[in-house]
Amino acid sequence: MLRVENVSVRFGKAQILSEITVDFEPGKIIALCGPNGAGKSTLLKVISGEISSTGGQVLWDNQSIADWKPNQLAKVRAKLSQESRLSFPFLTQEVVEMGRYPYGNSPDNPTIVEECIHSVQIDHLIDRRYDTLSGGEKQRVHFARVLAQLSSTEETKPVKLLLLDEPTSALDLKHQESLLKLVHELVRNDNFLVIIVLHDLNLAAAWSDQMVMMKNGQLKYSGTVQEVCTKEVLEDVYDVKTVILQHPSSGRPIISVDRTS
Amino acid sequence: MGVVLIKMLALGALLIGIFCLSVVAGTVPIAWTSLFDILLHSVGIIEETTVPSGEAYIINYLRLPRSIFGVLVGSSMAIAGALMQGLFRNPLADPGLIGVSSGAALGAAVVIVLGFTLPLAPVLTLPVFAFCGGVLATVIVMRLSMINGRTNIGNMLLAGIAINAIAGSGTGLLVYVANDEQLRSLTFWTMGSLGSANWDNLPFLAALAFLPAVIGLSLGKTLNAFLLGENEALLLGVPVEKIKYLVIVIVCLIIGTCVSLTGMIGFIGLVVPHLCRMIFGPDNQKVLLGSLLLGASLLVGADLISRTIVSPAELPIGIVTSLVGGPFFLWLLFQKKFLGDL
Repeated sequence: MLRVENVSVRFGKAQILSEITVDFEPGKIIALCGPNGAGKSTLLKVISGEISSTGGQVLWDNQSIADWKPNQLAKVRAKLSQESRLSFPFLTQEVVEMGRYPYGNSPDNPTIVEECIHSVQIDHLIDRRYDTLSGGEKQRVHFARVLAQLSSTEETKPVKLLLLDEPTSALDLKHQESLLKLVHELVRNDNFLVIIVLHDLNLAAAWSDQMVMMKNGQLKYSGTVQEVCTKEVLEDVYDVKTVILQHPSSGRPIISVDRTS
Repeated sequence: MGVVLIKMLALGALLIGIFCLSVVAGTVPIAWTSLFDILLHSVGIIEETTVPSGEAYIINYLRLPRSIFGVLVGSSMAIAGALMQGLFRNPLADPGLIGVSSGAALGAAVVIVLGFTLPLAPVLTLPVFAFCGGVLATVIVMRLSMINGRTNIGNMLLAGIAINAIAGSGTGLLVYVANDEQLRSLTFWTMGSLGSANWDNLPFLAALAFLPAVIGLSLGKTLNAFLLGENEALLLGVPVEKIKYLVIVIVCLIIGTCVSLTGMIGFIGLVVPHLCRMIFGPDNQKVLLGSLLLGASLLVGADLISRTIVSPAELPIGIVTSLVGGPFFLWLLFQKKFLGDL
């Protein structure tokens, strides 16, 4: 469904991504992990169409991202960016409503906006000015906006691509969990493909169906959580020794640094 | 929605009130009944008017075209300001940033000082040169702000500053060589006037400034998306590069046309969108429509002051807008509540 074909990106002399090839199928949460500067965010930007690759191409539904009409693509692909600058004092509700811009004045807009506000649990913020919110609250407002962008009431539901760049970076424990739970439900019920850039390996291990490890602009490992969360892989990618435990109820790996020596 | 509608209707009522006042008030006062008589006559509701022919002439050939002229210039310039502030994501952005006003001033100075006349239509020489000067300056700014095929807004700002400086020095050189009479007309031109209004140039103004402004009205949502950042706008399906071009072309047409017909009129493009943001909040859909109504009211009002305060003479309108706009802008800056929003 999403095909990344030999994608390379250079900025001047710096090679940010080198010949990345990978396929993703819908119905999965993909965690994109790796050390700082590995090229995770850049890969996400190439997939979203924000920057064009210097080599290779990205195909969504067998059509190059570059050939999609911007407005059509916006209805099936949304992205939560790391930072959204918005210095004008919009109300929270108005920011979420921006997610419906690709649909014009569709009569479904108010219902969908209300639903998304409710599912991200920001009902109490809708009349607040966006610029007075905390970092975590802003992040959740944008998450609601992105959900609104991909919601549709049509009978035939095309596969949606949701890209999240560090969606939990400013969130507390409870909201990290509820955001990822929501993402999990979208993938199970609504035919989504979700790609998340995550620094927190424990969150990645707990919630993803597939983990992709990047380093120095290359795709180093790709597989299930159990395949990728091994001491050998983590030492190779992060250059640090780890201990891996097992979560008592879910059985998923819990990763911590080995501090014995 | 209800509150917004009421505010818009209030602005609309304000515009109608100021418009009518601007027709009846002036060096020769006109009775309100004469105005309504003439209006009803012109739409064919009554057949004969009892208005004295002198008053009818003043209304039909002086006040009415001039007031309509003021409406079109004021609303278009205010919309140009709102569009620029949206595009630059900066509430202090002014239409002059893309070089169009200083280019137009240079064009006008060339005509006034070097005394060119176009062979076919000598009267149009100054507007045509001013318009071309403005468009040329904008085209240069646009070309200079391209990086890898994309228009870089930051570069556009810098290129605009440089082009403004160069055009300004060109105008300065012409001022230096001008004689006293030329200097006087040049100075008056830079202070603006709606005195050139007549039924013949209204269609030009409507087609080249007001029509683009009306097209600009539809960009509210798009500009809101721009406020999230260019990348976010792209992700929301906005064809970012096309929109940047469209906004610049619209602003260039509006300001080029208005400046070439009225001279320089400051502050309308800067202050009116600000006022609208204070009334309606930052949503550009409302700011644009509000700017249309309020810009028209303010300019017609300023013109009314400019031609009555030293009657029978006329104060250049740019002095009035700056005299009112300058202190108002300072007051805005010192409003603590508002400072946070900048």
